[in-house]
Amino acid sequence: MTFTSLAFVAFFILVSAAFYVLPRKARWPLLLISSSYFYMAFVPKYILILFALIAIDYCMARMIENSEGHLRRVYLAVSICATVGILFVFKYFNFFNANFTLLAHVLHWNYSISSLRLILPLGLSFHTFQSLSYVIEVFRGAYPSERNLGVYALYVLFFPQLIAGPIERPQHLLSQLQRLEEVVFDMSAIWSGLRIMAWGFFKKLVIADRLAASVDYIYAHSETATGLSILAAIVFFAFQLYADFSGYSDIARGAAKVLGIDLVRNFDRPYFSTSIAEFWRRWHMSLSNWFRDYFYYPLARTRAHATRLWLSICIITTFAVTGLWHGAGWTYISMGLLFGIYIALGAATKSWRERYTKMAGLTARPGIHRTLQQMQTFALVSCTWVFFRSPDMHTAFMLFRDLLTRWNISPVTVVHDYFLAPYSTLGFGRSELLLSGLGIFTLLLYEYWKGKAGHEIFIRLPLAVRSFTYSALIFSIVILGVFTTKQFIYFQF
Amino acid sequence: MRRRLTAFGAILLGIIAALVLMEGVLRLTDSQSNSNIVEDQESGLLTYSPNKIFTSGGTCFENSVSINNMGFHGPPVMHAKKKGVFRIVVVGSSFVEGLQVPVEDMFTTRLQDELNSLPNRRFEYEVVPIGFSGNGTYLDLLYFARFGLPLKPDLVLDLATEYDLARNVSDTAHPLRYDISGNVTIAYSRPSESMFGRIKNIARYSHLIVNLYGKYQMFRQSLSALLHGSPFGSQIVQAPNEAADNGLLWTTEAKIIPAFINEVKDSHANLIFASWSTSHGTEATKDSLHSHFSDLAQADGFTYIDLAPSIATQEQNSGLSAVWTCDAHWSVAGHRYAAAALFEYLSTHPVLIGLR
Repeated sequence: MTFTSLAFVAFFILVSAAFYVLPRKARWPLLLISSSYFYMAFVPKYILILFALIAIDYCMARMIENSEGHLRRVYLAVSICATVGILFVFKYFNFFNANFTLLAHVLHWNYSISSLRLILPLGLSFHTFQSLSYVIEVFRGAYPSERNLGVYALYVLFFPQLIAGPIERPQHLLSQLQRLEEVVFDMSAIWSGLRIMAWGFFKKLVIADRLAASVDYIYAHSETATGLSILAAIVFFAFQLYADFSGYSDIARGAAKVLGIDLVRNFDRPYFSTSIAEFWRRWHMSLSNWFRDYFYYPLARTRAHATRLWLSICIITTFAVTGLWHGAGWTYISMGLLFGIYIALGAATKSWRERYTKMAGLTARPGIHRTLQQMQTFALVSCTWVFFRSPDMHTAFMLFRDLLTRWNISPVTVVHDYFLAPYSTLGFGRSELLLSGLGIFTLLLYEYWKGKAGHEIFIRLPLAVRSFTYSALIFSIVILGVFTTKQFIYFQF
Repeated sequence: MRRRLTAFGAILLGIIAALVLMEGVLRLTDSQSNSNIVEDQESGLLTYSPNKIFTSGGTCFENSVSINNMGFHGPPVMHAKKKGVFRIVVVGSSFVEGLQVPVEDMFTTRLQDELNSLPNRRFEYEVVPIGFSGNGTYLDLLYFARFGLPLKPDLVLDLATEYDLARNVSDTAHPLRYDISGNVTIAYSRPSESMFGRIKNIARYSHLIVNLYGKYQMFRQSLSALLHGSPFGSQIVQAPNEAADNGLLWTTEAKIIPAFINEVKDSHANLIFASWSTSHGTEATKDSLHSHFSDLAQADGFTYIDLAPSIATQEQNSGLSAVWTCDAHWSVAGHRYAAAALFEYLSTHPVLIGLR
């Protein structure tokens, strides 16, 4: 039951109506049952893995709170081992096993363990990280353990953010779930939630799924694609990924808001970032914050006197693990490593770059300077996404090679092949190209405007303009949306 | 009260402005062919504007469609049949129309080329496609009577899918007409005379209405899949297509075919029915089309060709799919397979193409 299906629309309307109509005490059981059903609508038996995860972490958190001394650490270790163990078995075992087998072959070791034939349960990386944050916060004494198993289960299973986040902390989500009975029917909050959902649907159905056709086509025909086609695929994928994932997050946030629950924001106009470090403070914020708080800080603090080199090593390691979180493959690890290297290099060359900027006279022109930084950041990010999108390292390297070498095209050919009849070069027709361009323009314009005028920009507009904007948004989704059964990209994680 | 009215007016104004914007965006970007459709003054049947060229596209193909002088996708047609010409008129719906491939790749063009390459031929063969999307077999009969019969064909081929059968009973703009003896008869109902027809007529000029109608159809299919699908598991549920098994459809078809035979007989031509189960059809659909059409062919004495087995074999041998990945219609390969299947049948039954 993907968010863009009719089944979800029917499910969401029923659950929302029941939430406000049923007695308040029935709210958490209602959400727990409906969330379990939502998950089981994909593959029913996978719910057992989640139940196991919930039972282990619930018990360990209770035991951590009720014990003292080193026993607390033992329970924490048991919880982390169990949670990470489940993730490792389902997601990483085959990857590590294959690489060990390869290494053993090179070193002539006798190693042969066959691969597991398991399918990765949907959103496993998200639930495990959300469960881990709960146990760690209880261990740190920052949050009391939850007594009600049902409410804790709802914290892990809450359907809007169950499959692809945002990854919540107990202080934010669990505390709201404990007070579900206090949620009142607030029409303005419901409207606000529906607005956020509509914007999410627009990003997914009008922009992401339309661009997907071209990106898939160019990647499938990469052996014959020209440098310009590959460049188009790189730029299109950057927007596809953003529109797809932030679209999901918006639908999740909006759906939760309708039910009176605030989820954390996952994106803050990331393609307007002026550096890679800033980009990661604005992109998939719940994951970056998780790695910052539970991985980077503890790692960096293992040395009393942290040198710049040590911090750089910590940053690169953190991003390599972030890459691995996305998927069990060298492409994801390379993506993470590259982001880590950019940030480490950015910190190391900061003073040199500031001097250069001053010499070039850019400090006197902050607007131009900012735009150049944004373009440079976008270029670096988009190129790094090539590793995210490529099925293997060989394809990624070949794409970069072809991007640099296959430019033997004339201006007349460019106009004809890329604008007038773009199917054989871009994988979709002129009308799709125009609609994609319009979609990206609308996305950037809205985000630019939001950056200038704040989040609730529409509330201050005259009624006729608001009516026009919301109608145009809804009509765009219905009329221009690409209604296929394409899943959200982050569902695979 | 006045404030409320002003607010209502402002909301309405916003909605209308958004609708106008959408129509503009669709006009700027829509490659669909609906604005190129015209209504035949004599019969009220729809054709394309003659001699027009427009683009037809999906996410996996783009085609420049050349409409001929008769208003159909295909090569130009000379109304007067020259001496020594053996004319085959092919009627049907979107598979005969073939908007997804160039004229030279349409199965009708390929069939014509193959027939003209026969070593022992006595005629010059002309294969004329008269296909229009959304037609059922009753509309095929009406199109044949209006556009095909004046061409004095020697052979008439009707290509039907499971959808064509279903449309005979669902098309409210062209309901079956009967004479006093209860036989199906040819009677044109001008679409613009009925409410549905009027809406359809206006819709041709609005990309927005055409688009919304398409989305409504999609919604109905999704709703049907939702109501009939399993509540658990995420398998994509195909819209149920029981068309080929529905008794009403076949009793209707059994009434249409004798009328078709009579109409063709008047022109001293032979009639062939060919069937193809679309990629939406199940194995049961294929079997049902085959068995029902075989029974009707035996009862009414017409020739029947099931294209499905030959196309499936050719698909398997070449490894190329007969349909586009983004569209259920035939790809260039699909048209090639269909032409080969028909050519194989006709060349082994020379009497049908005037060779004996």
